[in-house]
Amino acid sequence: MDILVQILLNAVIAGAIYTLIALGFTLMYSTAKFFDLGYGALIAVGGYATYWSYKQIDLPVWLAIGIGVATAGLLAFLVERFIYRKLRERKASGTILLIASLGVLTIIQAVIAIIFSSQFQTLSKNIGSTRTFNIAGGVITDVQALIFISGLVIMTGVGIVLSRTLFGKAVRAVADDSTVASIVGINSPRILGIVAAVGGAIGGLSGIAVGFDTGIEPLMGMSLLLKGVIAAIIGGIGSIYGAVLGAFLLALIENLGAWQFAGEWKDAIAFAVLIAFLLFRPKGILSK
Amino acid sequence: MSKNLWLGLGAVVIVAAVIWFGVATKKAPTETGPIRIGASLPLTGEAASLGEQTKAGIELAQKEINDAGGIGGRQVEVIFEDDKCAKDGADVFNKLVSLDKVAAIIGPLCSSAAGPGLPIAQANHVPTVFWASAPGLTKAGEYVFRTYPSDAFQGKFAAEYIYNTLGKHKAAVLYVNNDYGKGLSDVFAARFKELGGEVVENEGVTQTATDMRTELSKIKAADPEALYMALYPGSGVVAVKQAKAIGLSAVRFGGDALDLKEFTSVPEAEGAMYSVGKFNQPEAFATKLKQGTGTDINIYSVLGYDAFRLLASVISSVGTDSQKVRDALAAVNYTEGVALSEISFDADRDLKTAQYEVHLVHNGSAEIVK
Repeated sequence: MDILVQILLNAVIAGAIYTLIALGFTLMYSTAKFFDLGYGALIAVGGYATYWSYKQIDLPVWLAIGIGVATAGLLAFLVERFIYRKLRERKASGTILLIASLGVLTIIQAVIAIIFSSQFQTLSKNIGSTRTFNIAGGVITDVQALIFISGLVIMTGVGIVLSRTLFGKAVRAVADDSTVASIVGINSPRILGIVAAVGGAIGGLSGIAVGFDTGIEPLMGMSLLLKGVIAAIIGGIGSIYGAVLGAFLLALIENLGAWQFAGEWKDAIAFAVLIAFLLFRPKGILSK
Repeated sequence: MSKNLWLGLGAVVIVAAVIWFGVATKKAPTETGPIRIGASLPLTGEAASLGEQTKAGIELAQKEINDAGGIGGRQVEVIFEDDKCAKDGADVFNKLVSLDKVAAIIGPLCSSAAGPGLPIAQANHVPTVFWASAPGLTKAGEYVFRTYPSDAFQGKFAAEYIYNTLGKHKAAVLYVNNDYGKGLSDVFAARFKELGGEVVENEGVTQTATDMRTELSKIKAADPEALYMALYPGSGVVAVKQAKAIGLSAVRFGGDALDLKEFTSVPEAEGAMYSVGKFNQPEAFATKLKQGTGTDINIYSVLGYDAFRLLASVISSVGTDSQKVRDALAAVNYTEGVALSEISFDADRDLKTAQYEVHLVHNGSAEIVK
């Protein structure tokens, strides 16, 4: 039975990482309404900004994580403000924005590779101090427990802000219809900028989490982004709790599949799940 | 929408014009211009560090030869292309062969790039010296030569070492699912079973996998005495970290791709072992490399240096005619190499002799196991 427990725990760890990515993505997607590939690069930006401040200039770990999150959020804001907003003002279609975001992704990845080289880097410094917890015969590390907890905290935080605050109301109004929101006096571009910064910061945090758990490389964002997107879609795009449910469901199916068949099947299984949802339940588990 | 369509069409026309212009104005190499050598290396992606090491070695050799007057009075130009350690090797070879019209090619060092690349060199009769190690690669044809032992030797060596020397008779295999990992793990598993050992799990992971927990959990449940890791450095780091996290205690043994700082400096790699081709990495060369390129010595820089000097020595004696270069390589007995005191090829254009040694990771670096 031990192996099943461990596999369930593995699914929880993977699900926690997917949760972070899906939360940031669904937040940005539901307001900006286009498939932002650049989000994948922000994941790497968070990881590398932390790598730089923690391992290259030796700042304390919490400060380094803060710098990583802030850098990703700031960059997301700048990209929204100076690229996507300009395009939107010219009534660019979603396709144009998608292509622009592909450009953003490629440029950021290339710049990271030039600055830090393409080597696989680890964020953790001294592993001797890693604590592990035994749960019913399975093991998780302290880093993984932290990732799981931060996923839940951010989900709750975003959920509360969206449902209980005036700002959240404005975000939801923009998500419903940005033109109407503008007519009733909501500053849509400003809301989009703030949402991009928050979404980017969450994406950056997910990159930092992956970096501490395993490691970072410049091209890490794309495959993680796709997993986050699948989670967001099967959970019901635009729904915060749906994204979390989708993330854990996806991780569970992937890991059970890897257990029963072989690890190489993980990606194939993930996308098969996506296609099944698109065909039979296109609005996801929790449709709005 | 029609405006977008026009924009798109315009872009296509411009790109096509640029490409055509580039091709049309490229001068064909003449007997008096520089000699062009192509290099197909991973310069981005997971194996980029290996490519950068190789590049440093090649550049050092190129500088030495050009400073000494070139080959037969002609300077040597090296065209580095990024094969990303992947099937992009085909694009790289196509470009080097048909656009740059190189006299010879160095690389690839990744089997997944060599697989699609080498047949192109063969079809165009461009002599190629490479050191990707998947067993079948030299079957591409008579124009491709390997200055590194084939994994057919390495997998066998590892199986024998784990079974006989370490005395572990129950092994699990974790491999990166590409030509390198698959080739190495197949040879390993076959030899290990032949010796009487048991292979209890055989799990493949993708080249970019960052989550192998479930594969490792299955392996842990099968309770092996040894874990054979046919992995690249990045996936190797992930594997040792996650193996430690789930409490897998088997002896960890890997292949030559793990012979890099980024693997050996990871604390969880402590105690892991790997086999690596036995090559000389003399101090004098290390100093020269550091001074010339600012790079620390590594087997890949030495191999790049040797491959370049080997080609230079052959070309200086027979010229750039591809048939002559090929024949000279087939018959070569090169004794000026740094890594190997003798390079000569067997009928399959593989090295005549192959030796391995085992490295043990200890305190963040690799020690040779005597």
